[in-house]
Amino acid sequence: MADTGLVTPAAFASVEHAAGDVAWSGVANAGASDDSRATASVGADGFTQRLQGTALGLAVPAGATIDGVELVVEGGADGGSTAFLDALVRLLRAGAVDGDDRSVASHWSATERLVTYGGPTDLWGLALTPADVNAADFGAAIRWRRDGTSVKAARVDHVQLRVHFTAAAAALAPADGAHGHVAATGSFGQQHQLAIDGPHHGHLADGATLAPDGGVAAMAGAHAHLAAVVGLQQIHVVPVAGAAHGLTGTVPSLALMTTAPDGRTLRPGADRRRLTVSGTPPRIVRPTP
Amino acid sequence: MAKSVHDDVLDGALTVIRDGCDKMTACSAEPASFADGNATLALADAAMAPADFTVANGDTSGRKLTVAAKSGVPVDASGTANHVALLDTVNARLLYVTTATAQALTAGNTITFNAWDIEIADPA
Repeated sequence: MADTGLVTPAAFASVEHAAGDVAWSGVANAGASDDSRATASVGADGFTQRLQGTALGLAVPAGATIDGVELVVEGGADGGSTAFLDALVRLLRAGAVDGDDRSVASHWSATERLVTYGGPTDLWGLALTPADVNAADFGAAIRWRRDGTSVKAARVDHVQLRVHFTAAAAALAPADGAHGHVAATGSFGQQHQLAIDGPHHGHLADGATLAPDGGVAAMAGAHAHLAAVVGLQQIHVVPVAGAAHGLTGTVPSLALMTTAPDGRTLRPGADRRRLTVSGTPPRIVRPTP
Repeated sequence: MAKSVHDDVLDGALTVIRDGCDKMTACSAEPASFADGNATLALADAAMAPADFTVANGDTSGRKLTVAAKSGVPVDASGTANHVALLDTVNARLLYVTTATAQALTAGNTITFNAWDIEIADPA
């Protein structure tokens, strides 16, 4: 499991949750742990507005699984250790308050402290995606309640979030490299074909001619054609325009003509004894003359 | 009249890769140079050591070098991987390139290089 590290929102706002809520002042002060604080002075049993932090600038990779979200709030109550309680601690998804409320019942102390909500496996009741958490309007909202009669100041010094995720795992299948000679298969009497199942290039043992029509090789995910070259020593398999470069996977078939350029019949034993295959992926491109 | 080759001859080529390769990269196109395979086209890279390679008899004939699978390799750059390169970063050599089934990769995710092999057949 990976995580984004603790990230401080770049944007803060005080948003009314209910009529009569007290707005936070100096909301941007919640962007650093520097004892410069966002504050809200709240009277008897009153509430603060929601202090919302967004614009985390996360870059959780697409395809990853979001495992959990942590919210860390550094704050305290000015004027007593029982002055304030959580009234709301929720996430913001798509700019809206969403998910379970992670408020805790204990009071904020007069001495500033860190309180962590959620955790590495806590999704706050949501099915979050990388797109959700990467969005500029993803974040968290907190709202406090005054527990007492006189006016006291709620103080938030720093808000941070951390997203835990499991990166998606892809598999890459390199093609085996085969070097050496592969004997041709099939009949030498008419056409013969050779199945090539790896990255090869082929060599004709003599100067036979490749059939343009018969030299079309079909492969999974790509098509290729064979250049028809008189007196060819190498068979050049050329991916057609737009196809992936290089050949992988299944079997191109190489069909050979049975007559030479001068019209004589190629003899299986002498002229086309073997179609050998060797070397590296068929990436050599030569135009058909 | 038959042709033959001693295993040591074929192993000589394979052990150049085994002993020299210290990095395997997934590339977004066929690398034509060390710089291509090491950086320009590299989407993900795994550290390699001689223990990641095994020289043995070939499946068909001759000898083969099996490259061990590597899992959990971080993807450094997004793109579609379609080649794999074996590199010797000490001497800046592009040792071997093969194709791979095209695979879309996203930076921050991980990739598994499946095991594969390089086989040199006996002369026919």
